Amino acid sequence: MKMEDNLEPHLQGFDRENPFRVPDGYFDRFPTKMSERIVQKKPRFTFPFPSLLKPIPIFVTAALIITVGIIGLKTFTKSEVALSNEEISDYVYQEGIIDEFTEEELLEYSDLAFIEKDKSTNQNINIDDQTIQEYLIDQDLDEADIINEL
Amino acid sequence: MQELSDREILDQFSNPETRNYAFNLLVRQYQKRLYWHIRKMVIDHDDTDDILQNVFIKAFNGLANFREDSRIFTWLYRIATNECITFLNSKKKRFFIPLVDVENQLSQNLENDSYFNGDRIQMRLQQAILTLPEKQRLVFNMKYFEDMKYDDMSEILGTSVGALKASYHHAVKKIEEFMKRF
Repeated sequence: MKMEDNLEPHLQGFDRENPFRVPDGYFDRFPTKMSERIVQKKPRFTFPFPSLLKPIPIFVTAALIITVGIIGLKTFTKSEVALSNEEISDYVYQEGIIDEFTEEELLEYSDLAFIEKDKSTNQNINIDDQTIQEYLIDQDLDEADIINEL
Repeated sequence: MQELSDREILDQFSNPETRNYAFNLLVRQYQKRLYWHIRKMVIDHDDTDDILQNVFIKAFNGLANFREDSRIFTWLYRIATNECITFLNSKKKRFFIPLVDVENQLSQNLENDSYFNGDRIQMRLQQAILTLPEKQRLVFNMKYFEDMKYDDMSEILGTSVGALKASYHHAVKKIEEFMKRF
């Protein structure tokens, strides 16, 4: 004899009839109440493979963090543009910025800055004539140009 | 009322023209069984009514994607069972009361329930059932009052037939002990 077959005698004498009841007409009204609740409502679409959707929030979050990072870097990082001496020189002359500098300031940033430096340290500058001539030749300058400048 | 097969309900539900009609038939077909299943767990009629509506709303939302690897009947029972457990758990959390006090509260509700028709013995039996753990209570109600097959219960509760039989056995023993003290 099976286990559950032994059990029923223990509960003999108890009425199996349902002791609960419902308000009058409840089951007649309930389908109408449900119809009213779902009226105009369309069944919600649910993705048939929900497990495939689980990684999506991770990818979206990662993409969002990367995007914000890139935008932040572009916004807050100074862009460093390498310019050649010629480009700087052209810009300074074309914009008339050259007039805003004193002779001392120009010397400080020019190839002749060593002269100023030596002045500040009170050291004698021993440059022979040949060196000066070679420099002038390198810079494609002749004596006439220098005299005109003076 | 003539009962429709699962296939007929699903076919009619998949057609937008007959969707609401099919749903109405589904409600009419299963409302009583689900109502009593829920009512025996939560005791109060108004709570049962709320839960039953939630069950059918969930069924309406899910029926379009219903996979026929189970029957609509067991699927609805599973939703109803989960809703009952969620309701009872939320009641415990909301009032910070332990499980045993929830059962006491349900027992008191039973005594004050104007929709309870039973005599003193039936009242005592219901109170005995309320002393059981949730799962045993479900098993006992489904077997004793609804005379449900163990295979169906297994499908609904996700528990093996052997475990259900053992659970029912323990439930009956506990109820018997409780009734002896009466």
